[in-house]
Amino acid sequence: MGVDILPLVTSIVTFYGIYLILALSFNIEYGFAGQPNFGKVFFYSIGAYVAGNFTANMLMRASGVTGVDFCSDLAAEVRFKVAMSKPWLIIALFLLSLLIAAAVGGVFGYLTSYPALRLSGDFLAIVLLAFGEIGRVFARNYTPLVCGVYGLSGVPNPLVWIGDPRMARLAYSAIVLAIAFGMYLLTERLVNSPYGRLLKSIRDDELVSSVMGKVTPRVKGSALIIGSSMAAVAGVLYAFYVQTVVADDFIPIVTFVVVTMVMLGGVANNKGTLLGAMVMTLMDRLTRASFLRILGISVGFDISYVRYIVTGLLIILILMVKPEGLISEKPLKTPAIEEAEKLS
Amino acid sequence: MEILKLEGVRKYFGGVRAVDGVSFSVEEGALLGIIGPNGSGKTTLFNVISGVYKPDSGKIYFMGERIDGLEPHEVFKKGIVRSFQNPRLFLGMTVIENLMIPPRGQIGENPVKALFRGLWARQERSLAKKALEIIRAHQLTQVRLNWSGEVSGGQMKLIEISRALMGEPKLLLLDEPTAGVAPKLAREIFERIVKLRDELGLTFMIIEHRLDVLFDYVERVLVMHQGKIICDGPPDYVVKDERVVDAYLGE
Amino acid sequence: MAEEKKGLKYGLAASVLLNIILLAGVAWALTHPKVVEKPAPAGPAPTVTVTVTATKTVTPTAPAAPAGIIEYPIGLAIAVSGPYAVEGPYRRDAALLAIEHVNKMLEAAGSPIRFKPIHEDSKGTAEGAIAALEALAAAGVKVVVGPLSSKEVRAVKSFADAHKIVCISPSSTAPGLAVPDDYIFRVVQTDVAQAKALAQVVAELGYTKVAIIGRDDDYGRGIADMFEKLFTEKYGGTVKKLMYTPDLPDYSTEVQRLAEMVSDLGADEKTAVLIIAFDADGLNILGHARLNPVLSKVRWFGSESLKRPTFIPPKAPAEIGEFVVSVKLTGLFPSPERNPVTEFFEKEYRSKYGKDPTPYSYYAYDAAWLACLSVLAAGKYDGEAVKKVLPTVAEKYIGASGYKKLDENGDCAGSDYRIWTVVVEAGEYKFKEVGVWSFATEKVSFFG
Repeated sequence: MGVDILPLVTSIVTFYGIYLILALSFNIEYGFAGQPNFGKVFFYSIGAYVAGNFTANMLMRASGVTGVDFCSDLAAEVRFKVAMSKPWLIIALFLLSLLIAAAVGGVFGYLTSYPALRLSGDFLAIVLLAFGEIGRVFARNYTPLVCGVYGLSGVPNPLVWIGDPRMARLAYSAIVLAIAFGMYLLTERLVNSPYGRLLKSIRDDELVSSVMGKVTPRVKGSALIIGSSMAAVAGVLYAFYVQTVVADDFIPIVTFVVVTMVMLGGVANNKGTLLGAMVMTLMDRLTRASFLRILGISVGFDISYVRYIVTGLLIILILMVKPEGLISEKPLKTPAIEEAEKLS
Repeated sequence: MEILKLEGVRKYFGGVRAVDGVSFSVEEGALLGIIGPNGSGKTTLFNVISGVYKPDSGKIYFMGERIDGLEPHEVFKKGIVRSFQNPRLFLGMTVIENLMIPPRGQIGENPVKALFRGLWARQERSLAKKALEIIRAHQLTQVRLNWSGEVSGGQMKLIEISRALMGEPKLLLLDEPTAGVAPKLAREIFERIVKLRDELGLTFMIIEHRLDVLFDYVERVLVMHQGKIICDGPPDYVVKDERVVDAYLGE
Repeated sequence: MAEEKKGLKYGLAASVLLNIILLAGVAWALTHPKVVEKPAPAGPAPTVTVTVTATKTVTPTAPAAPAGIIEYPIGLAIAVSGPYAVEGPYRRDAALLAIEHVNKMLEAAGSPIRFKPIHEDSKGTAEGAIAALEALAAAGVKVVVGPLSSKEVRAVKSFADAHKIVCISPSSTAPGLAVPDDYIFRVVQTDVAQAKALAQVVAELGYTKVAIIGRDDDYGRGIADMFEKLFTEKYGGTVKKLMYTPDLPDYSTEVQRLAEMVSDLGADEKTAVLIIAFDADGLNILGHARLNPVLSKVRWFGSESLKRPTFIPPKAPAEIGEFVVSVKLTGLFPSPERNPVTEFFEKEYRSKYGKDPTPYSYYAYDAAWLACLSVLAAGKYDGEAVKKVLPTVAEKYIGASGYKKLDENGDCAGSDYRIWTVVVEAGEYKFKEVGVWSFATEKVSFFG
């Protein structure tokens, strides 16, 4: 009954990777462009639905098995077997899922930008929050998507063919982290540019930005498209990690975890997002009774609720001491700043 | 040649006739002062011209084209750039970054191209050099890397003007450019304005309360009162006009 | 470019930080010998013939354990938030009670073995369940009570199989999860059984038309769909369904539509309502229904989740009590003969927690007992061994929820259902058992 650190590592790494992508996308939308996309979980769920539905359907087709209910656990078994025997197929499906989800997420982001053109701040937040709930209610009632209230299971780990499921999970977590880190570098590139400056101008004063010639609705729309596309990618990574897609899991609390990560780390600052997501992930994973046991700490009561309260208090405390977040906003690293720094 | 022409422009807010049937035209390369007591409709006039407000009626022509009803960014594209009376800077940016917003055709503002620095870095650097020139001319070099909220009130006004100049305007609407600026610097600003007009042929419309400074530089003054233009002429003509004196005394 | 290098550096620093924290954790774990906690002294438990000597003192900060104690962790992956915020703690407490009882037994016998519960909130979501299992796995847990819902069980299944962790769910009832030779065991009958029994009871009582109002989740749908299928195909009845979104603040519209459905069906002596609800939604629906003349004159049936103290006074308002009595609310409860263990569990639970256990608490209690007994039977703390002995242990086990023989899929083989209704006796509202549906014969018989 020794300590088995592997599941903890995969757990932390995967969770961190997925939520880092979500947090980065929220940072682009809210931190830079000032658009509080409280429907984040909706775009996240789109990725999961695309990955689940597409992969499951394709695997069923490849299996040649017919007459089995797509949603049944038997079908899930069939899909695992196909994935085990056809490594190239499941990897291709994983990669295609990423691409399709990014595109579909972007399209939905574009559609969402329609209200974003007309609403601002709190109103937009509420509308997008409602969007997320509508999406969830739709998915739970439209069974062909992800099997409604039962949920779709049997979305195999794309590395399941490795054989050792523990290694497959570990390798997958590494892929998630690599993709997340790639997203971080892309986000850094994206915002440390005239585009990032443009987003900030809209956040700071949309009217002045438009008086200065910026087509602000289009720019806001582009931020929502990018953010939604990223969130959908995170959703794909989630679906292949949990291997089950249940509409009812995509509840607003997911959005608030993401929002907290960004606020905690510091808005309009991707390093802050890295840190905020890290702090929240570690707080979730390392305040558990199981982890305390690994450390040899034994508490005489159930800490399940206590840890939620402590986590909440800690966040409030940090934000009271540092309202701007752990790392405060810095000037964008553009050539313009470099030129200005050259003078002295 | 007329660069700007207003015909019977009205803008009411409820019962308040902020701009009440204003007609005038501006020659290209003019230096036009706009004065009038507080609440006489000067800033609203700027808002209507720059597309922030749609006029209730009337027509506005810019270089022969109708521009009333256009969005602010469309008006900007035609070549009209404005500054704000109460500085409205982008507070989450440094001074230099504020100046980097208005330049047109920035390649890196496209999110896809933004990812490839090679595509836009050269353009960005040359724009930055231009911005630093303007910064130097407005004695802002010391604070160029400050957050734009962390400068003095007078400097904020200067940043407003500098930012507007970065928009490569044909017509500049400056709303009290020297309010809160030291007298010596205020004159320097006006000297620069004259120079820009002379060298680049820009047209200026300047709302100003400091009549002593203004009258030394502009050739023509519009006097507004209760949404109407009550007097239009050279400074020495305007100061002698009774209606103008009444309007100011009645304030 | 400089920025990128910095970004890279930061990312690297972040992952290095992560690793340092992890390694520090491992190092600490290795350098600090595990503190073993002795089981807490028993609460008032008169029926257990174990006396805890008063000389043993327990200091909460650093519980010193007698040398030679071997401690086996039992994971409790039981949601106590989200959809299970109300019901989850009942089941967790029942599992904790079982482990306490096992430890008392072991202590009395002088055994060096103790079981240590580790609770993880699985939040009622797939992600929460996976995270809970990962955490438990990291702590070396090989036997887990939970998760509660079928979707959580589905989510953890491949993880449990991969890590050889035995999961015993006290309440997953989805029929699809019946998979042979896996690490998932379920000590409760699937929804099929309840729906089957329910359809038969309703039909035999002479009803031919049923309007269902049920939660639109895997629980509600599971029963409603199966009931509809059986009731229409086997008994030739008519069914109308209204599945509602759980956790809405108010259900007046749904109740109005239910009344319309009942009217369409005739609202006569052959029409009945079947409600499949949990606490808050159920109370709200009953509250609106009692004011509706159509709904007040037809017979009501309920899922076993309606047999909770929530629905009768003193917990429920008196008017709701009157209503459920007047519409003869009747349901089933998957209970074989009440046995001494049932009585013992209820008494212990009440005295320890000061409240009545909910129907699924009985299963949680049994799941935890089975977990501990299987470890003892296996003779080692090893998932594979536990998995092998568990069916045999279950076959020899009768617990608070009855006989726990498992079928070839590791699910409860099925049992009789008791038929309950609500009565008032001496001014007190009670759930009274009025009949039984026999699993073996598939026959309904009413008492007296």
